[in-house]
Amino acid sequence: MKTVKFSFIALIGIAIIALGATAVIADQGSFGINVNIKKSAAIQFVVSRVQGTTWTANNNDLNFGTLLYDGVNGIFYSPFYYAIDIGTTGDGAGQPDDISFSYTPGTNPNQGTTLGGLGVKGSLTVVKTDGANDALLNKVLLSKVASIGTLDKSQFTGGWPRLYVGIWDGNPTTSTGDADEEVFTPADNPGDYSGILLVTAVVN
Amino acid sequence: MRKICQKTMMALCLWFGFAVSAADAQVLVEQGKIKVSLEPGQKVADTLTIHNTGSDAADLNLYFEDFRYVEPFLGKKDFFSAGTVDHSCSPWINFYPQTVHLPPFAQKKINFTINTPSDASGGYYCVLFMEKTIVDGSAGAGGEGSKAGLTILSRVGTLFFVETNARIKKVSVGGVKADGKTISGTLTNQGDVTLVITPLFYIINSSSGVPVDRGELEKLYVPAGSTAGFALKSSSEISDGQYLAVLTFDLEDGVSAVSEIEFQKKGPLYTVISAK
Repeated sequence: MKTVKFSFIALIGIAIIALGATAVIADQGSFGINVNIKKSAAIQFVVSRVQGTTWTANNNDLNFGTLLYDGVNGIFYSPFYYAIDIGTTGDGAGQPDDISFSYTPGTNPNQGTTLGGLGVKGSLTVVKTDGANDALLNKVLLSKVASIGTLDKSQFTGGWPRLYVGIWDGNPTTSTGDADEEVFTPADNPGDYSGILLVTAVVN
Repeated sequence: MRKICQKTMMALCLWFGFAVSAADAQVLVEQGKIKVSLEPGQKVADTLTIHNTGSDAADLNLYFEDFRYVEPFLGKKDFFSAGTVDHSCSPWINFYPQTVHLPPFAQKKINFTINTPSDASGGYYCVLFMEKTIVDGSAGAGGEGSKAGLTILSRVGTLFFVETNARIKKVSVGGVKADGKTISGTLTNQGDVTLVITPLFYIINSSSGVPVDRGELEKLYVPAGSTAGFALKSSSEISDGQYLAVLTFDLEDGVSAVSEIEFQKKGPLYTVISAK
């Protein structure tokens, strides 16, 4: 399929050159040439679990498992977080203009208490990365990912979008700065905390 | 207080570069947008093609939603349940199949039929989503204490633009003013379809008639009855004098609207003389 498409694009290229050459012979004026390549949309995810300096390909789940207890600070924490690289380059024109996020709460054993669920204990960080350097674009609680709005492909020129998803451990340097942010503590009810992050990619 | 410094870990990790093996399942829909022009009451059937360009199989659920471009009308959309937005075409379109299993590097055609009602007039819109679960955080729960998991769903969409042949494409320009080096104004969609507008411009020196600048402004996506702003900022330094900016708003399908803005530049300031 790729070969066929490449050939098609190559043919268009040859046609443009030939048309341009003909135009030059006919007249020295300027000419407008329109080529309309079908606008497709594609999205690809590469999920990695990051623990210390080890990145591990993660195929099946984004599970933080049973959180570990830090008796000194009285918190539960996860020793790892996740990195999700978003590829938006498809075949030729396969780049969606518009990537957006939404979050739906799942199970929350704290329901009915003053404490929150995964939506306020986890965060999503959006960066533009080139593999060596990250440029921070957004950092929000999972429950507020819709506030990121639309990521436009022009924001990622020279790199690609990467998401970091983690459980907050109380560290101010990794905080979203949101007043609603919470850490897991023994005050939280035990059980499974879950949610659904929906990533949407469309053209304009 | 013991804290794990994720930022430091990230920085260390990035020394290893992007050499991480992939959970590779990419869904590509060939037709990101389907635009058709029909007579009221007309029916058409066609197909769209989806590909799995990855090495893992993909299972997809297909479903409709409605969408609406939102301010500042630069392409951002809000999505709504199917059939809940005015001028939704989702109730008119049938498609098959509604679930798809795509083996690695396979493709599948989705058949759809558009049944335009006899009283249709103007533009109608919806989006067909192809949704896939890429990671399921609900697995692996168990044991004592708090556990956390996040499920991620990804979806790509095909936008449907269904318009009647007798559609009206019309805009009006207003509120033209100069602010420093920028000339701005508003564009109101007075027609009955969502307009995808490409504003093109050139600026000529009124005295010499010589063009001094030309270019393209950001595309606008303006629903019927809505007003979007535009801003023209010359990319080149122009000397003091009087100029005419000619803006052509390409409304697609061979329809365009032209606005002429006469302005004066004196020092760092631009002043609008007239706009029509």
